[in-house]
Amino acid sequence: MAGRYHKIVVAVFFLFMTSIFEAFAEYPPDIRGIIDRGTLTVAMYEKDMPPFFMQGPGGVLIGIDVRLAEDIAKNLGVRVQFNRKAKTFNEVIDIVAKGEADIGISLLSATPQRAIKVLFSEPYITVHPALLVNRLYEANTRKRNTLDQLLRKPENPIGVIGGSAYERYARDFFPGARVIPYPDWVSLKKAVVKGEVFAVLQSEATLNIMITEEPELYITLRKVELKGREDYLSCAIPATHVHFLKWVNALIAGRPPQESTRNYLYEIILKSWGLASGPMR
Amino acid sequence: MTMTANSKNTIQRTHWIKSPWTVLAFIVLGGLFGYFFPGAGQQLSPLARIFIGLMQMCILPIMITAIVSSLGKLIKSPGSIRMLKTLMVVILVGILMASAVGITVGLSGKPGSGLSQSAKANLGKMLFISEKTTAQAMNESVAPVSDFFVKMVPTNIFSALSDGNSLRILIFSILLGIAIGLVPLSASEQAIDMLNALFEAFKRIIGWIMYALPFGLFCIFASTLATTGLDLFQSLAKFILMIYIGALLLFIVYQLAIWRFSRVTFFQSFAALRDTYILALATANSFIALPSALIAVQKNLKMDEQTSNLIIPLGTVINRQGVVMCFSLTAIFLAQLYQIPLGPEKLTVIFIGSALAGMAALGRLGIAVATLAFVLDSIGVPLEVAFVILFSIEVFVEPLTSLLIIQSNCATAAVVERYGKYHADTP
Repeated sequence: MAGRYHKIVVAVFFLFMTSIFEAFAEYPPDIRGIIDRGTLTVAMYEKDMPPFFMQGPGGVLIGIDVRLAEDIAKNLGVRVQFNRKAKTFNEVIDIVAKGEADIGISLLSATPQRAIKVLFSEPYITVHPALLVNRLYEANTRKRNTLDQLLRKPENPIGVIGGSAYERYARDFFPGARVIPYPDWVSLKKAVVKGEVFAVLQSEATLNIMITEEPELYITLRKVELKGREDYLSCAIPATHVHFLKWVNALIAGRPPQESTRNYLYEIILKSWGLASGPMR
Repeated sequence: MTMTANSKNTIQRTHWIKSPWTVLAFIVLGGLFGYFFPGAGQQLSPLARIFIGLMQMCILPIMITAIVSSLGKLIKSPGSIRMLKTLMVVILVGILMASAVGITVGLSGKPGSGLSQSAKANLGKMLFISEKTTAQAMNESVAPVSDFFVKMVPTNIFSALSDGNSLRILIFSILLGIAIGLVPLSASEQAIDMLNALFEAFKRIIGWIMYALPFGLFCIFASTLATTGLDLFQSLAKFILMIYIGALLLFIVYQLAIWRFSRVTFFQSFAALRDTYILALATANSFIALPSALIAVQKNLKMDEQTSNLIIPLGTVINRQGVVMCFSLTAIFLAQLYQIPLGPEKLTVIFIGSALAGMAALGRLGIAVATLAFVLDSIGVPLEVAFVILFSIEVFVEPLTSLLIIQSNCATAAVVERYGKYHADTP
């Protein structure tokens, strides 16, 4: 009786072991690594970039990018951990390339230079680059030039966050311009308010958040939409993790379609001011 | 020159419907009606538009016939040069005075300095919201100065007439008036007489429409309700208040001039133009008040017909002193808002520039400010902000500027009549 009982235990144990082994065997190594650790490490730029990643109520990290990271982790059944050591946006790419993070979700645009080092997912949101122009600077330099002509002149510098895609966009959009990099959004904002730079190139979403929070700055500054220039944000994934990339793409494709950030954020601004949308009169 | 003896008879007993109390009662009733029954008030809007439309119908013919016939007669009579010289001097002094009033009120009231944080935030919000609506208007209306002179000349007088382009019509009327005056035939005198007869006929039509004035005002006040978003104007409240103070100063000066240079008591000089003022305030349009101004100064103030027929229509187009005051005050306000120090050089630019811009400014304030572009550019404040601000406060300010435009030209006519008389029969 005892021997027979023993055999059953061994058989059940063996069956159990193979099923566990097979369950792991179904996962390719890149995804298995994440599940083994139980955490998804997300590389993200060290400073907050509303509305993509910022401190919410109670100091919790919230935002469009944070929501995507949490979505990915939930579908893998793991926790999220943010690696916010990157001092520039290009450093986010380097962290991902070195394998120190599983994915970079950080307002990243898929530029060719970056795509040499890492894989990029399908875009998860479309943002519109926009200018924040110092009105006084403009009034004193206009002299029959269009804004576009003014921006192409080296004497009217354009400010960007150093190591961001906008640094290159500024040179692409306005050939001949002098592009000055600033370490972060706060110092960049200060520079354009003081008139150290003529204008700032930044995502429209970020500018809209600034307008909502500090509407008084709009007396000094004005936002200019850049028609026909669109910027697609993608996730950066280590170059060898091809299967994880395909999985992330499938997840992005299955998410509800994003509303146009432009209209969406305009509505949010008006609502936050307690105003209905539409012209005042 | 003391002719106050028969002044008591100058204002004839009027029909009850034209009594100031009737007019006032209808305005108050209209306002109350619109406040308590906003829906029904809106239903009256077509009637208000019919009333305004009837008034507008007569403006252009009155302008043309008045200017052509009075200028034609003027050219034919001796002393016309003296009268025109006096007119130019009086207009010049008037607009410079209006510009100076705007600057003085702005510098002493400081509407643009020391705005509170919430006022600045509200102004920022207002700029953000209104920018989309004003950007297009601004792009269409800001043009080089040379364009202004090109557009002044009517290539087709009939299209200018149908567009109601008052500046082109004015240029045409002046040229035609001078030409008719120079044609040495009795036929030209007949032409002038005919135009004069037409002018009288249109005045008569206006006279009939004026019987409907109380009812028209009732409909206007019942159908126009205060707009929403008033808290956003908090940041501009001081600026609007300064405009009101400037307007009050100018109003007093003009009324004193009208009284001093006409043959009635101060109260009568005011009562004579009462309907004109109410019309200008209620419709926020100086042209709509123009015909009634002509009737009032000639009938109630016994002003000379030729002088007033020429000066008031002409002045309504180019002598817009209320707008000048508003412009110089706006320039000061913006300089204060952007903390631009105003030295004597920049103040001179504002002083002269606003006067010139005001002369060229036609149409709604928020659009007319395009003519101020060169002033704002040279003091280094953003033009688009001026657009948004004037666009937003138009509704509060335009009734007053319209009143000042028509009143300042009645005053101009009174002064010119005194100092620039050209009648051979004047002692």
